[in-house]
Amino acid sequence: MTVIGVAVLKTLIVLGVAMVNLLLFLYMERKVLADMQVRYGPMRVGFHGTLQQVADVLKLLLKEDIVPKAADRWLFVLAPMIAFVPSFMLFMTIPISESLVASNFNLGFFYIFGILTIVPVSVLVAGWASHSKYSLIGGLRGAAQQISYEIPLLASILGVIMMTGSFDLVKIVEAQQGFFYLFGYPVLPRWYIFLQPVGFLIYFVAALADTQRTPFDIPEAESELVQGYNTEYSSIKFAIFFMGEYFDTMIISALSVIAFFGGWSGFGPIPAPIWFFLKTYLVLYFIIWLRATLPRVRIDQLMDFGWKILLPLALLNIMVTGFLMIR
Amino acid sequence: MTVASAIFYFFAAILIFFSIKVVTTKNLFHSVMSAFAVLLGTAGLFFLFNAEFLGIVQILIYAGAVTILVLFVVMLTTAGPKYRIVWETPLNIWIFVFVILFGGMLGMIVLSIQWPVAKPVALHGVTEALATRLFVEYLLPFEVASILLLAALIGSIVLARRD
Repeated sequence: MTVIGVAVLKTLIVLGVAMVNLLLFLYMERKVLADMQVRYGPMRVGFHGTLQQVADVLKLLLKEDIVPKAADRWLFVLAPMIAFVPSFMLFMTIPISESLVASNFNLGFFYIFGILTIVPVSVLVAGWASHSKYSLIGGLRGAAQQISYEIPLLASILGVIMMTGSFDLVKIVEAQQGFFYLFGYPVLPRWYIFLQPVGFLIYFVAALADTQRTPFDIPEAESELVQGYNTEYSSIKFAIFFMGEYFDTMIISALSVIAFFGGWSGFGPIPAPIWFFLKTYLVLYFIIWLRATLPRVRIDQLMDFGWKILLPLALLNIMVTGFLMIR
Repeated sequence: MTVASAIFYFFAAILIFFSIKVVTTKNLFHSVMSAFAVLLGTAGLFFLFNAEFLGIVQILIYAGAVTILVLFVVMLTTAGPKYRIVWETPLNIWIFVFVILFGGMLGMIVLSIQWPVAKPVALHGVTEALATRLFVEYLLPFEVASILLLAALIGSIVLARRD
């Protein structure tokens, strides 16, 4: 029984860390967005609005939980769960430092992409079960987008995996220790972003599209589709959808740090987990920056770009990496 | 009962319940979602048996891709969430007779045979063993199969094109 006890304890700890980081990320997104649009953002609740997120979560929990009359009741309730559980399951494999990982096994990246494919099911189910035309269109768009971009996402990371020779997240980070030397001086850290620049670009674009962040937030498109597949969702169900989506964004950033930015490796007396979080939040900052800067692309542009440019480029990247590795 | 067998029975119960649900529910969409649950349960069993690679492939291809394809087909062809499957053929008594006879026969066979139990082996490098089989030993059949699949893919695209 101790096995289950340890598993439950680990799950609770990871859930706690994930939730705290979610609140931090939400606060950061609001503040950074506000800063870029020359306003203050939340200022009233707590010191500089620090407790605003807590207040918002409480508000969402206390709201009336509405299930539309025409909705398919079972599926309507099930959809947020299908969205949240896989997103949370991904956190279990993220290594914060060499030893700080809830569950590491040698197929880490493969597992992550496997679990990521469940998420579009929730989008489709939510769109269908709501029995509303906006939700249906949003659901179809969302699923089509996520399926299309999962393929370049997986293909872009394969370059890194080929160079490491392992799917293991810890091993991928360990392969990035050390420096590149020029005339005997360390000039650049030995990160995969310098060895796989094309892979990183493809990964980042595909990841943005896969997590439906701006400029690829077509399935939600507040101004045309009134939130898309989660139009009919309110209260805690909406909160769960929302959390799942933000979890995905955080996972994608953490993965980019692990695969391309040397994970927890750093210098000086600062402990490894701090480095990891620092890098992850820098990537998140960049994502928020994009949200504040770019307009939304059209759905046909998105599909064209994914299938006709990103995927061939990713395959080419794999091929070139293979050639360079054989030598 | 050990933890592992408890987890096994949990997944087995899910599998049996949703397998029955797939064929008995009147709602096409519910049927697909039950199939989704069955596929996830199978993946769970693979994980339990230390075949992580197979479990992940099961999720990636069946629970993820295939379910979504089927959902797309259902959403684009049927008439809304209130669509119901109707059974129009009158039920024939012989169906039940044959099902009971066949099921009884299967049950007797299953129960009468002394099933060999495999000795637990060290399960390290299952994926590697699989890869060696696929890409070293049986490389030619593997490539032939992939060319066949590609041909089928192109064929279906040609057939589906309108112009």
